[in-house]
Amino acid sequence: MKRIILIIFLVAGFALFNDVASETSEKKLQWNGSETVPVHLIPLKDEFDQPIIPTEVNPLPFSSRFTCAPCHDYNVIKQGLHFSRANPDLSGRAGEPWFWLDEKTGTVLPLSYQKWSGTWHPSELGLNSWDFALLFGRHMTGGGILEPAEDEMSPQSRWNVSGKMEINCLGCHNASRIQNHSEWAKQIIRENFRWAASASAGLGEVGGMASRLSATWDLFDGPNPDDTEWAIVPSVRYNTSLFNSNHQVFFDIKDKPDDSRCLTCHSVTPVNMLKQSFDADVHSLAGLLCVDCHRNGIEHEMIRGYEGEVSLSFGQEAKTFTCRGCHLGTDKNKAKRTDVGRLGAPLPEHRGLPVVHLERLSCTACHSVPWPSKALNRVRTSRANRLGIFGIAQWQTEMPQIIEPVYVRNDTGKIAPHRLIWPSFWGEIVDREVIPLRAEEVRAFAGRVFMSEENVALVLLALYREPDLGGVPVLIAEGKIYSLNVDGGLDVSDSIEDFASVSEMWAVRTEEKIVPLMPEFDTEAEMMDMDVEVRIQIVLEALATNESAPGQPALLVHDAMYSIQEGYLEKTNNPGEFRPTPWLCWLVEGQPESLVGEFDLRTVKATVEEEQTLTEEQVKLVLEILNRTQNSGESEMDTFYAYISGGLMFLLDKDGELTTQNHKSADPVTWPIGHRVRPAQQSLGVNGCRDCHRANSPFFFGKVKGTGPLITERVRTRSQGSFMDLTLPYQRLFGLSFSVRPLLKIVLFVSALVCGSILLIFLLLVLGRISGLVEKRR
Amino acid sequence: MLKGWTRLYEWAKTWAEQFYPGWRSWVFFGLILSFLFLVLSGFLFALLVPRGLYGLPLLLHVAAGGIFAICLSMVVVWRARDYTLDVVQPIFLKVMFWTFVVSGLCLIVTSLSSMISFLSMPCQIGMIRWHRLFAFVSLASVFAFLYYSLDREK
Repeated sequence: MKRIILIIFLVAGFALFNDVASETSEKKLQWNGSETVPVHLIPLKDEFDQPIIPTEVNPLPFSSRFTCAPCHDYNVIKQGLHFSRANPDLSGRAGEPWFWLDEKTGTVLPLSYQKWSGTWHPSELGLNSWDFALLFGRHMTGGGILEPAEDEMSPQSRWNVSGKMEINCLGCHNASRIQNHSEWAKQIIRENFRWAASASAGLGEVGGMASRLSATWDLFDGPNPDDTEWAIVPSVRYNTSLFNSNHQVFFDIKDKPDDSRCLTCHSVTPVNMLKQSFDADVHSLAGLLCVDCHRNGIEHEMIRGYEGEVSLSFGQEAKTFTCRGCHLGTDKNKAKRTDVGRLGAPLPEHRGLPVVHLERLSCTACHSVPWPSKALNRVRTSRANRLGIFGIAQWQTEMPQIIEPVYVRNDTGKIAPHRLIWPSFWGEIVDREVIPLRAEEVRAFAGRVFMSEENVALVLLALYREPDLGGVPVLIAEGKIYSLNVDGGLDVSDSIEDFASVSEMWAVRTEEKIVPLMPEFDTEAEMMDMDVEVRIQIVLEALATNESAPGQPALLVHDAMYSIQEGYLEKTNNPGEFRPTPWLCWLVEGQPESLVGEFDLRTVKATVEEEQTLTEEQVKLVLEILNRTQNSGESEMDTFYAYISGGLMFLLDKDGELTTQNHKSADPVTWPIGHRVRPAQQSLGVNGCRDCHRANSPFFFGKVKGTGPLITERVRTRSQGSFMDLTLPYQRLFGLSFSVRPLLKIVLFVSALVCGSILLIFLLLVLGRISGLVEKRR
Repeated sequence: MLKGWTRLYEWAKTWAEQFYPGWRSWVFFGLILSFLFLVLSGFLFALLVPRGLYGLPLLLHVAAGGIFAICLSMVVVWRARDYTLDVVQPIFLKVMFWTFVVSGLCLIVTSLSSMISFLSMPCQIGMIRWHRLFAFVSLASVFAFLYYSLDREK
């Protein structure tokens, strides 16, 4: 009996506790009615829910999950839009995909966990959450797939070393100007995931790199006393002046983050535009914050603000945060349209605009993005081009080449402006589908094909290490000077006139002049000039330090060859052709080879400091290698490979020549644009119908030309109208009709005037007869 | 059926020879043909296509509207005197003629107003509704006029 009573008591106790817990949880979700934000003077907690005492030895980084938990339900927040991107069931229209870039192999692959047209699911490319975090964590908010459960961690991942990437609440909500996104990105690239939030919020200094630690290290191992130079365990040294005597820290929290926080990841700016020429969105200029429209509750289910959006948190109210919702109202009954003008939105009159435009076009078609012109605009976005990360290293990339505006008919049948990218990647053709290859696989197969720039740079680097050269080593080729840059690549500048016609020459650049690396000298002289001898020796010794050299360095002049033998300069007979001027080379199996091969030189001349990084020659070579390597005869099935770029599929034909085909994998990927909204007086159509309706208007007939990393004339070109599913000849005819429309207006006006006048005369006659003023005609 | 159309054609031919001599008959037939096309394209699309008039038919509808306006104004100038109060004509025919003129004028005005940046969007929506209403009135007046004239002839 006692046992039964005890069980009932325990069950009741559990039920009561559970009730209290859920009540507390619900309370956390409810707004208490105050419009103010509480002062966030709070104790920090680490990932083990233990209070952080900054003066302790080796304190752990703070954990947002446990620091914010007493007041905010982390489990509810993590369902939010920014943290649930890996949920394949996430509904809604397409957004900007992530781009997996590899400039060397010319790979630009759009990735998304959602089933957006033209994008690849990361798992299809063998990317797990760890890879994704390393690639894109720089512009991610943490949470979701970046905080995997134990059973979701792949064996190759290093989550135990790096820690999980918890939601970085402060990344958005910290109003302090010390919040530093660049620091976040730096910590992510060092794999210091669990330390990144503390470092970026400026709570302290984070040192060490988890990426250098062994894969078996974990937090309980603590610092490594044996290595204070290289594999230093990450640690945080808190700024103790930020803590009070109760170890509490004041966070300057804003529940409605500043636009700069959103723009860290959502900036889109035109390429080649000066910062001072850039106009922000008209809504921002009017004083609205991003989050004034893109609202969310504690669930962080952000309103995206497009028509037809389904919002669980906002329900029908979500409609009122679209362009139409604010400006035109959601209630079609005019008399009841009390919701028009939300947030002070003006009511547009759309004078003279045929109604069909509102039915067939999105608001953004006329009011957002740059005015359509013959040449489409190139833009850079934060996430695609890695903007907003500042430091000595250059983070931003030219690729991918995103263009706008491309007018696309969307799922709702409306034409809306989109951004567009042409994907580029190497792939295997399987059942007429192109399955992408990972960039590292292609590099491994391609060998030296992608290393032309490195080959030149390594020669220059070997020479650069020699201090007695008397200047900076450079390569002069066909009017260009190639020199080493800090990233180990090459910079190019125009050559001086003296060397404009030189096809290939190694030289030394001083502040005043450029001189050949090897001076001309008399090989027949009985006694060699000592300066020349020393010069030859130091150059050859320097070249010998190039680890990727295919052979021993040598200098050929006339019929002589100079090389270093057992530390001494030796003169022997030239094994190659006669050289009228000094010529540096590698001796490979006794035969001289140029320091840089012709292929490398051609590739360097074509690609260095160019946006495009690949030549057709490289593509052909790599496809040959791939086809040859994969079809070694072991398998009966022949495998073919292709490269996708500029809207076309490049592959080798039966004769081994590079040819192109259209393929759906090469189709462009588009996603709709919301901002930048222009003022009404700059909207499309403000000059009349002919802004769009004319014979060659860019809106319908603008050309969308394929772009990609490949230097080629072979690209696919589509007209804007083809994205709208319109009959272009009709649109041209319709556009032409606007040329005669003024005449039609005059005809209608004169006709109306004539008919109206006669009608008036008739009515006056009738009136005259009734009043007796006009007598009956006889 | 064919007999009816032949009769209608004969009536129109006689009517044209009587009231629109020489080159004026082109104006008369221009009015008839443009009106026919406007009626067919306008009503068929309005009744059968949810989207309403669009595409090439819309383009032709607008062009036919221009021809109709020119022809109507010329016919009104030439023929208005035959439908004044003092002329001996059945009153029904006079009413139908002037109804056609008024509705024609309204059709011109409603289409012209849609082409100039003057009216707000709700007004334009109203104009389209009025355009359809006057098209119906115009068609009704033509039917009534023809029916009465042919009946009288018989």
